[in-house]
Amino acid sequence: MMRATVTLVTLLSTVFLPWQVTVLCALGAAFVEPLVPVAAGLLLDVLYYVPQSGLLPRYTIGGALLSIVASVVHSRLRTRSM
Amino acid sequence: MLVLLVMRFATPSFFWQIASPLFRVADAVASANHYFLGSFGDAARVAIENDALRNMNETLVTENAALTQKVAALLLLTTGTAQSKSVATILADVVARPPVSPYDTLVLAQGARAGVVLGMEAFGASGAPLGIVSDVSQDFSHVLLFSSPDVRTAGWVGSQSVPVTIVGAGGGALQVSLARSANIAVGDTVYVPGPGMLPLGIVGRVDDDPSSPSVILRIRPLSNPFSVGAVTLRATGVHGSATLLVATSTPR
Repeated sequence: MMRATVTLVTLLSTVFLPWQVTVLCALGAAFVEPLVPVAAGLLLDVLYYVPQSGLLPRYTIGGALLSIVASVVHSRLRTRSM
Repeated sequence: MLVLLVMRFATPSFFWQIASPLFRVADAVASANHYFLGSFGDAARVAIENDALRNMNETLVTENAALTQKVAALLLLTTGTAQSKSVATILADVVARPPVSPYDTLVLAQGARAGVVLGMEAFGASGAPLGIVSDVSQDFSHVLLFSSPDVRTAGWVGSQSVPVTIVGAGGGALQVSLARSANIAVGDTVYVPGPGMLPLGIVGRVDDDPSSPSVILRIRPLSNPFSVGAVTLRATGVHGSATLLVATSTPR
């Protein structure tokens, strides 16, 4: 339930709230669901990224990196608690 | 998420048809919040501001009518007719804008079906240019704002029309690096090319480092992209794309 709520709030924030709030939500969500940051990053870029801006799709890249870090930390914590 | 990604690039119009109602709801929620929070403000101060704005509006309407008459008189003198050549303009609702949009882009509810093409220029309610159409689908389009990070636009600044390169700083902000000897001050107007010189913004601050031969001008745009509800799209013939444009001469 907690995971679903956090995921939904983060994804909806890409449409309803300033992007800074989405980034904060994704950071918080990474603690409970490591894949949320990459999903939020993808959604931000899908909605707003324009290739002509000359920038990299930085939110997908940042989200992916954060998800990798969160996944590693999660797996370590799970191993330790076993 | 991957389904959304595939849908976005394979059928962009369908994707935006699904997404736009969500943005409309977000707009409605934001407006409701604005009015609710505004109701806590000082009513007397708001009434005074309202009166001042109403007076200003009446003055501007009068000035506008006078200018329209002057334009008609000049057209009559130069072309023999009081009708100007019609320039195709498209009015488009803004579906998403900064700060929700992180790249300083606007999503518009008009696309190729309404005649929107790449390179058209978007103008705010005050007639100030905002950015360039840089992505068009059947029913929706994206405008890359001049304030988008690292977007460079040629322009002019000040009463001497000094050629400059305006660089987007993100979050609706713009900046220009200029030689100190240009003597640009706070309040000077910044222009971009269009039909003639179009006012883009006003110099809000001048960052002056004594150890550097140049100064950095922080520019406040005339049209606030954070609150824009609709834009006018016009093909000015200036922008093929929103990348670097170099001003080599000063128009007179």
